[in-house]
Amino acid sequence: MPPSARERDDLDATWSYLEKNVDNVMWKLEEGLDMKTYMGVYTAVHNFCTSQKAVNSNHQNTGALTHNHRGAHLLGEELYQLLGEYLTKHLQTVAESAGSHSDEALLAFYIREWKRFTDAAKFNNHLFRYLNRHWVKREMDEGKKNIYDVYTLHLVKWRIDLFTAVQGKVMEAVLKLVEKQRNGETIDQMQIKAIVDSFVSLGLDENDSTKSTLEVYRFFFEKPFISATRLYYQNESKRFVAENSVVEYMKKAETRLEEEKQRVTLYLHSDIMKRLMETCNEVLITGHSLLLRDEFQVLLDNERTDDLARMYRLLSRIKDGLDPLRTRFETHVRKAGLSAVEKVAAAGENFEPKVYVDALLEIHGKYQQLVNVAFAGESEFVRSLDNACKEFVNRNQICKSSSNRSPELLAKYTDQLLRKGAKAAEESDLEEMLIQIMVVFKYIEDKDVFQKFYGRTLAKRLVHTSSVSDDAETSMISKLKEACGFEYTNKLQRMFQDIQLSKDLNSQYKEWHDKLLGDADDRKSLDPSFQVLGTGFWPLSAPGTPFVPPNEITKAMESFSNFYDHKHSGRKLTWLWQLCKGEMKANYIKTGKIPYTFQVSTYQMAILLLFNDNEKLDFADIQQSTSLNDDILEPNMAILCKARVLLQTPEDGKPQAGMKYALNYNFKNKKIKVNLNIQVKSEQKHEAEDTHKTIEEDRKLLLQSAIVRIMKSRKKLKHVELVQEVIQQVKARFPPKIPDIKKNIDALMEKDYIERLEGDELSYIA
Amino acid sequence: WNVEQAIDAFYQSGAAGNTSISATHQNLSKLFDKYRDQPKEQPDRIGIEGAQKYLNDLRVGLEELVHLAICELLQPISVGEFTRDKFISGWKSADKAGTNQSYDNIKAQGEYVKTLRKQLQTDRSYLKQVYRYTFNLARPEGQKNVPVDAALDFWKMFFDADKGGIEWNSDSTPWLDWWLEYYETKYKRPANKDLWNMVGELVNKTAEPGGENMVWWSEDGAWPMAVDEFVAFVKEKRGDVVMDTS
Repeated sequence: MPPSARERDDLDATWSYLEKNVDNVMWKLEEGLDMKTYMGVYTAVHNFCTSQKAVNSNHQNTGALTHNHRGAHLLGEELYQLLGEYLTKHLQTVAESAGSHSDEALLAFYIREWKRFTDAAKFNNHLFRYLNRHWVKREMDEGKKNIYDVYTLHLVKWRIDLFTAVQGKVMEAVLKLVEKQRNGETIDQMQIKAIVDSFVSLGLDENDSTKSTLEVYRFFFEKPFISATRLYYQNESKRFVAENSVVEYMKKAETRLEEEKQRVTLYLHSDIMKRLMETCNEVLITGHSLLLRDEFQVLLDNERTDDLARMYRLLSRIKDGLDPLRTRFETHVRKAGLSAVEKVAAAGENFEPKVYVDALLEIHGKYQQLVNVAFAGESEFVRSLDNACKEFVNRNQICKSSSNRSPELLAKYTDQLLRKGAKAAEESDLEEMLIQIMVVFKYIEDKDVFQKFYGRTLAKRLVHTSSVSDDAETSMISKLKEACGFEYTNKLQRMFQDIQLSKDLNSQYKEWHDKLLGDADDRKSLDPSFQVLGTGFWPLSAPGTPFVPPNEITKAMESFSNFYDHKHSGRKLTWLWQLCKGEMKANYIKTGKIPYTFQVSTYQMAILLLFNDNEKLDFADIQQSTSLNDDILEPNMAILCKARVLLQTPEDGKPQAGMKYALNYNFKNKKIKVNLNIQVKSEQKHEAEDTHKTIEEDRKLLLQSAIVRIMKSRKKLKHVELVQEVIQQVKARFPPKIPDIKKNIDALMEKDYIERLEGDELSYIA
Repeated sequence: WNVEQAIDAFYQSGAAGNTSISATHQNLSKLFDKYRDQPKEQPDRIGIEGAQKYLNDLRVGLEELVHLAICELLQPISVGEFTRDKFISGWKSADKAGTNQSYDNIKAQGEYVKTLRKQLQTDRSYLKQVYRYTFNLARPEGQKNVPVDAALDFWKMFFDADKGGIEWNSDSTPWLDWWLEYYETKYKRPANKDLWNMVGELVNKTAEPGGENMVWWSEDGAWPMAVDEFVAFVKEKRGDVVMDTS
């Protein structure tokens, strides 16, 4: 029965009524609460809190109105206290019964009691709402500590009166359960989840009871959970490593890490994730990192990509875990590159450039693949790969004699790809190969050397129209431009342009020539075409021998000169006879119906044309008529004799003064077109030496212009800083040696571009 | 009216008074006249013969370093070719301390030369001044560099105590001998101004405490190539253990 109106000021009567109902809520909530009871309880609380102000104020004997007002609210205090005491009593009995449970039974008990208690708390919170709204609210507004709304009061009491008593045993049970699960048994995960939720609920913010904190949970759950985890995995991993291979251990560790991660999402609070993972990483990975790293080399040697990936994943989880791997990886790749090159070198001096470049590419490709697959393309590993490649591309067995070898061979290989010939690749394959060339090119330090050799071979391809295709050439040049900038490919592009311009020029010349000569006979004797190449852009030099061209050619030459002078007066034409060539019809040979055609150099043409007017010629005669040097004439005579176009008397012996020559009228060959225009070996060697010499010259110029440029802008600079800046400026072309820079600084001082001030400072002389 | 100008004017007119200056001037001029080779054709010039006689009277040997100190003082056109202007202004400037001492006769000048001899061996900055001046003297007319032979001769004067210079050879290392050997057999090129000056610095460096070990040298230091090569030359000669510090 609710207390009657008369009794409503009576604390004892009110509380005994309330206690009975609170007790029912606590123990028999499942039976339900009828509306009448609910209203009764609510009203009793309301009445108690509102009705006694006069009495109370008399009791207090403080007549002031203001105080009266406060007094109304003080009335709730007794109820609040009594409710608290009731809860304490209740929880003490719960704690007592908890003592008889342990392990999973304890968990079940705890969870059951917790549920009962919190359900009741929610109800009581409603029943005592008037208290919450007025007395509690006012107390809290006034900043009183340790006053909570009724629901929170339940939680606080639970924490103080039950939790403190049982949490140790509860956690023990939780941890046992988790260990069972880690050992492979099936457990009731939801029990642990309920415990976690309970612990989390008990975290109350001391300063603001409407907020919750994770402190209780962290201290009483996370902490023991983490240390149990640490201990468990310390033991397990130690045991496992002793009995299994490293690879097996890595699999185990990976599985364990994944399991723990799952555990969090399955039944733990997400707050634990970071610390749990850190702990697992520390115990499972950091604790065994030396062992793992030692295995790295073995895995590399055996190309165990999957295991390497596993190791990468594991070690990437700990701080600085990968650094030692990167160093080893770099060393490994470098060694692999060096030994691949040694294999090529072992096969002898005369290997194909392709073999060398392929060897470099194979190593790069293999380890690039590994970086992508096993190391997730991680940028630091990419850098290690790049460092290693740079090393073995620039400093290996084959480069030992000269660091120019790599760029030279690469340029030669590129030439082979871009030159017409038996080995020509399909267009689509070719593009792919050019991309591969650029892979090696990227690592080449002496980029200027590549530039020189590439320029030379490009010049030849263009002059001899022996390029596979203009598209491929353009593609290669644009790749180089992309890699090194406009300046690097400027000359190459100009060479290309000259060839284009020459095509137009030839058709203009033909028009001009036809108009001028009408139907004159000699128009037909020769069908010349010309290329005009800008001196500054082409790596070509004037012929190394005097030469008197045959009459037929002289005419054409004069005619073209005439035409060109009309068009661009004042430009000087130098004739590069060593690059000229032509075709001759051998009408004198009677054997076949179709006359043989000889493909010859202009020098050879000059020699053979002499036989139009002479049956037999002496070496000296030929020399006199052509003016050719011995070192050009001799090898060419040898070629003509070897091909049996000319016959030498006496037959034995090298072509030299005193030998006599006659045409071979019985010349025979399987082909109608006979190529006699073969490059002489000594010329090739000479060219390479020449190229190396110009590289040295160009480097000197590059260094000096860099020094002057820097000094001009800085005016004064310390010697050391100048050297550093020069290195910065030119290293994209080649890695300069300090003595070379100093030599050029000396040279510029001598030329009065710069002078030394006191100390190590240099100054620009305007 | 300007105070500065007035003060300048005062000092320039000479605190010692015009009469005294012109006396010294006249004495020096007379002394100069005595040694002229061709008084008629070249009235303001002492030539080789007169110079030799003059130096002889001063008791200065041609091969002696102090000879170059006198050149530095009197600024000849070339060795043994003095002009009147520089002769007079040079000796007037010898009175650095402003003691009104007139070096206008052979005896006084001879005494002054003695102090120069001493100064050359004790005062490094004075030696440097004479050394740097000598580059211009040693350069043939119209050329920028000092030919190998001349360079070797001058170094011998500067860095050999017997010639009145400072002794570069040391107990542990015959620096001068090795430098000359290196220069004559390896470098073999005329000395440019920078190299000339830096050889002077090199001598100072080796004389520093611990300088004999060449700790002052590093590959990326600012030394000219010749010095870098010489350091390697010395190390090899001495059989220094090359420490790999990389």
